[in-house]
Amino acid sequence: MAIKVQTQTKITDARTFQDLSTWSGTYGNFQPNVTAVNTDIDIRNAMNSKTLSANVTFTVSNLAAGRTSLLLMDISANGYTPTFPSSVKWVEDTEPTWTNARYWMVGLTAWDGSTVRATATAWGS
Amino acid sequence: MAVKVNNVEVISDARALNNVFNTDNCSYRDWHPAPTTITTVINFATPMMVLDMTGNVTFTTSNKATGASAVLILDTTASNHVPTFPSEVKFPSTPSWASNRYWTISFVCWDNSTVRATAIGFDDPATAPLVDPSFDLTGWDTNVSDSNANFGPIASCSIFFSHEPSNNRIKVTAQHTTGSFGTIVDVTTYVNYSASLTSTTFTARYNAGNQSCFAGAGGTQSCNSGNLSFGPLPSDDGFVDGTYYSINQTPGSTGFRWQAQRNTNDGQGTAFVTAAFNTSDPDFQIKVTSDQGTFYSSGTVPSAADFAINLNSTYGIAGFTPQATPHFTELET
Repeated sequence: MAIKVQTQTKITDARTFQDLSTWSGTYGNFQPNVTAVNTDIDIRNAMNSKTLSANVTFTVSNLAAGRTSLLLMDISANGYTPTFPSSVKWVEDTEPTWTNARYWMVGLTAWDGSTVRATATAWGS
Repeated sequence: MAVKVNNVEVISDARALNNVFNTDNCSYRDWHPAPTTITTVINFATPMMVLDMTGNVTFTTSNKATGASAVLILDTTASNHVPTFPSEVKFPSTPSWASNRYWTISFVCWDNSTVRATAIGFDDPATAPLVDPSFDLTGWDTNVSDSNANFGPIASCSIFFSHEPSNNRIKVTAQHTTGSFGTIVDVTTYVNYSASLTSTTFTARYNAGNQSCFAGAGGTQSCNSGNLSFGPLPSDDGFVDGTYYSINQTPGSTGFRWQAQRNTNDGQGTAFVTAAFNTSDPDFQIKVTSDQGTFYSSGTVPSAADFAINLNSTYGIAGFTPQATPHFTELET
């Protein structure tokens, strides 16, 4: 049976905690679910993954100040090219050269409702 | 009372959230991972880990799951201990661990077998000496007496050096023994050396200066090393005063030992073993040779008495008064 507070469901039957504001405390084994991305990176999802099988043009949705998200990206051995929207700004205003490495972890932080600032870390293996 | 959903606990009596499957439209403020002090395991069930290294560490990983992340706050300490990560942990390029003391290392499980990590170093390593210059023997009881009316009592003191290469250090153990109370380890300390040293050799010596065994009145056997398990002087065990000897690796060791035991064949009386440690050299020295030079670490017998090591063994009837410690004036320089 779901748990409700003042008629609002806070814990669903599927054990999803929802519509909770201002959590506080400490956590131990508490990890993000991984969302497989097609082309849209929903910044509400904390952890996303994408293995490119062709060149991809991403979008980023649900921007709100302070929201952060990670994208684990494998451009594959073929070196496919990702393209990010203009709302995504890169360190030093320089987008990474994606073909320099195969594996990338892209950190996205919504600065406000329209701008995302991002970092990218590369691994060759 | 715990809160359950469909008979699965989601909030325990201790207010821990358990079995959370998902969150939706939640926000947090003061919501931090609880730090866990680790030893060797990067456990993705404990996302914030802390380790102050006390030696070189070879890590393993556990509980890997796609998307799981963890952070390790690592202090390699002033000794510049070296971390080694398993092959499944990939860095963009392996950090030069010796270039910084403090590290924040972030791990992400790419899948259930591969971990990709980044490391950010802070602060230059402390300008620690490549070899600790001294070791502290405070607390070592070197003024030891024992007596027994029925058989030859034992009074001894010893110092052992053991090389622990996996931790880049020499373990120093100082102890004393009596027949009445057995062995008491007075001091255990370590001489650390930098992992950056290569082509190393490790030796130790003692610089007793004047040391002697006096069998006591009427004694002829009490200083006969053939009657003793060791000693009475280190030189009787093949360790010449002032000469460096190789330090054996753990679990072995290299020891310098003094022992007094009044032999019952000598009749009632007191045997003495003394060592003055009155030279200009340090009482004990560890010598490390390496590709980066030769280094020394020194220790001092804590006793301020004329005979820094003073062992008395009295064999006799109860109430027998031990003789006073003789003065080996002929040995004074």
